[in-house]
Amino acid sequence: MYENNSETRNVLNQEKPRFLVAMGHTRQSAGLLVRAKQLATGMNASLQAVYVENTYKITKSQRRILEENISAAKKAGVDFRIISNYNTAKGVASFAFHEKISHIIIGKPKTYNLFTYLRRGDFINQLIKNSGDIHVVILGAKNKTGKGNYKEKIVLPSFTSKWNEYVITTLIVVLSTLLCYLISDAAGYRVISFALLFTVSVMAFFYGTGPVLLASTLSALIWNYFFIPPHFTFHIDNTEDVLMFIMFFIIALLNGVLTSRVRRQEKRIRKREERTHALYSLTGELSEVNGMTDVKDVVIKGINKYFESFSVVILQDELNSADRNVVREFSVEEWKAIKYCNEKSVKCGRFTEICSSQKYTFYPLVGTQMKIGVLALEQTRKMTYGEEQFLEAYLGQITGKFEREILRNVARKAFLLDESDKLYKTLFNSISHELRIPVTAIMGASDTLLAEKYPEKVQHELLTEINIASIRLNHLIENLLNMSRLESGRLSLRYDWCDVHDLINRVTETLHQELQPFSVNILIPDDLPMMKFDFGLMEQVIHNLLLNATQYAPPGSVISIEFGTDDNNLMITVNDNGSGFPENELNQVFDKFYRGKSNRTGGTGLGLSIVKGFVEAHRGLIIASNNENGGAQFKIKIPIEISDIDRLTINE
Amino acid sequence: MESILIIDDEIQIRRLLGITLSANGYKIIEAETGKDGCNLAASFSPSLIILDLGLPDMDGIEVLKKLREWFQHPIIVLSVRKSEEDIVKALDLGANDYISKPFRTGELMARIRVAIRQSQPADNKSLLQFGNFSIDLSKHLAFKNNEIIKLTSTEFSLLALMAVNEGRVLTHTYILKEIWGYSYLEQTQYLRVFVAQLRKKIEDNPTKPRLLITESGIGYRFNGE
Repeated sequence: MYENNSETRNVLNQEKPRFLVAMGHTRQSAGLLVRAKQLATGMNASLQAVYVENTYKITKSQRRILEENISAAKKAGVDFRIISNYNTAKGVASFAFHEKISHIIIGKPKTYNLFTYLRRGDFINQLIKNSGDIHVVILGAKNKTGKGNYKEKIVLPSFTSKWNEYVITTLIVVLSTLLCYLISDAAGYRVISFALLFTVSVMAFFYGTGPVLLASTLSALIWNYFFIPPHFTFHIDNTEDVLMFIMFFIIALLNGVLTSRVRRQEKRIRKREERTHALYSLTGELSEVNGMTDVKDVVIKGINKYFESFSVVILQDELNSADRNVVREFSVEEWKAIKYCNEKSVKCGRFTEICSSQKYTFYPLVGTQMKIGVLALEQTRKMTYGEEQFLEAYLGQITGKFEREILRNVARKAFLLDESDKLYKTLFNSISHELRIPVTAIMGASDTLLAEKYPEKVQHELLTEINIASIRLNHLIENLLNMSRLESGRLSLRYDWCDVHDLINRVTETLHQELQPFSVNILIPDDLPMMKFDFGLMEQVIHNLLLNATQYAPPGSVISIEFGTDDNNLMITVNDNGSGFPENELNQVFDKFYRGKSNRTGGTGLGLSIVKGFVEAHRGLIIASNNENGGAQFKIKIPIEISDIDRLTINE
Repeated sequence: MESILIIDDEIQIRRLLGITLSANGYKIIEAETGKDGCNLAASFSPSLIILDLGLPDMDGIEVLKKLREWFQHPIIVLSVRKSEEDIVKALDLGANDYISKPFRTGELMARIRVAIRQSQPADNKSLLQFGNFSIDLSKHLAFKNNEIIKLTSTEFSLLALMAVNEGRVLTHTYILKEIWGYSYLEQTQYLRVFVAQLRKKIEDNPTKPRLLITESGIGYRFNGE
């Protein structure tokens, strides 16, 4: 629908006229729309339709006609918008300016009487006055449907207030009369009139037209009966007082009616604001969640909240796979309607023309590139056009989010596939190399030992080689197992109370040989409490970090490891005096198969990525940086449960 | 000559153990399955059994349960690393010790020696000597460099329990049950706090304990050597 399109098209195509037809809630408007469409097609122009909600209330039948007009416009492919403005002409004009309209099309009033003259004539004049250089086209409404004799009725404000409002307003009038009666001797009846008028005006802020009209009439009569001399008669002696009474009556009425009209407008604006806010907050909520199920939850909650209706979202894959869980919620008939809704991308179900016997109304969720699915909404009453418009905007947001989510999944899958392919190759290269070296050493050394009887010193050297190779193999297997634990996503932590001393002792013991050439500086505060973490995983973390340091730092240098707490976090810092990381590689340090240039002993490049994985499994954070000596620094922060048992104060 | 039954399905492990143990003067009996193992244990009544927990025909834990119905001599279980739960289970079901694959043969030999020594009737020594450290069980006293170490009664009970079982791993649950009783089996936090306190009093360097060794995820071991 190019009519929908925003200004960009207009900018690109300046010559193309843009028509706007001002619609009403009459049958003539439908005819006007047809003629406007013909005109627009003839002049190769785009066409939009607008309806202005003003402060006048419209009747149910008028609303029905309006809705028919809306659906007629939609069928004709015309974008229909409802705007709110106390002045119809100004509303149309400002909308036209905003949409960069070239021609406004309005209908010629069919009948003339004083009322239409006042309303329509004024409308045309005002529109011409307010529309600047936009052309105003007045079309005569041709009637093909034979309903030309339809007369526009003068519409009185409808009385929709509840009966209790009438009772309350009456009571208030009676009460204020009583109060006035008490002060009537001192104040005089003319002052009383102001007091009563004031009461009526105040009431107009809170109650509908009907109750206020009743209150104003009642107070006028009361004023006459009780306060204007002679008292307790409706007779008025003084001519001046007769005028006063008439004026009182008129002012009270006008006051009531005008105020309630302002209120209605205000209510409308507030409603609109509420909707805008709802849309806004939905957008906010949607932007915060990721993943289909979460988005679905937010959507369903949102609809529940803003439409007070139960809803179900059926996504495309659920439709195809006919997931039993989803299917169970719907009957066969409903399921058919859902399929229909999805295939044809049309709204169906309750309050529509298709399958209207259903409990649900089904809305198709159609994105710009794909069909997303169907939203089933269980509503108790038919929505007003405003609500419907709001729902559509809402659904637009939802569809957009779903679409983004689906596209993201697709992209991620492609990425993962690519990555896993790459990973597989790297793994294969790296692992086979890493495996082959120690195996070669073991085979070679043992072969030599078997072949000939060498001097004991040589034998010992060869055996040492075998030993070293086997340790290396063991380390590799350990890392591979850990990696696969991480990758499988089924890493379950075994939290238990641990002593950091045990941890570091264990690691320094297993790394005894590797750490020999270095001076290892271990800093643990005396008052470090016992903490809960997975000992095995943290052991691996410290093990890999220290081993990493031994591989990069020059022999004889200092490797330091410091433990501490910060609030409820365990902080671990490891420093070495190696050459650190190249600045541009800092963010790749934890990548799988990353290996620094100055590595002496090879290695799989898995160690640090395991460290990161295990730290993150503890919901912790690890940062790699270069320290002031140029060496590598690793900082770990892990949220941790700290023992409340103080080891010094424990009583037996 | 002490005889050792090896129940393991991996021929290479059996061979390695066979060579190492024979060289150390033990007589070797080999079984490939749990069932064979049980039968051979019945007919030979070995001084010690090395039992692999991952057997093809039946769960190693089941074999252990079966053996422990009648077999009095020590059983050492073999397991892969990171299976602390299985190890603790095996220890609580009556295994005397464990060693994880891959293992150092020197360490295995030490475990075997400790297990066999402890299975022999104790000579009820009331004075235990470990280098510069000694414990007088009858007087409830512990000495370091011939000086009395001030210990609370719980600390002493803990130390005595560990020292009597010198060289053998004791699970958290076992220690808690022995010292505090059945209602404290979950209170590993207490145990850790007490061990830390005890280390401060008996160890030369409490941050690098030499006597009270932590077996992570399993328990503690008293190292008397």
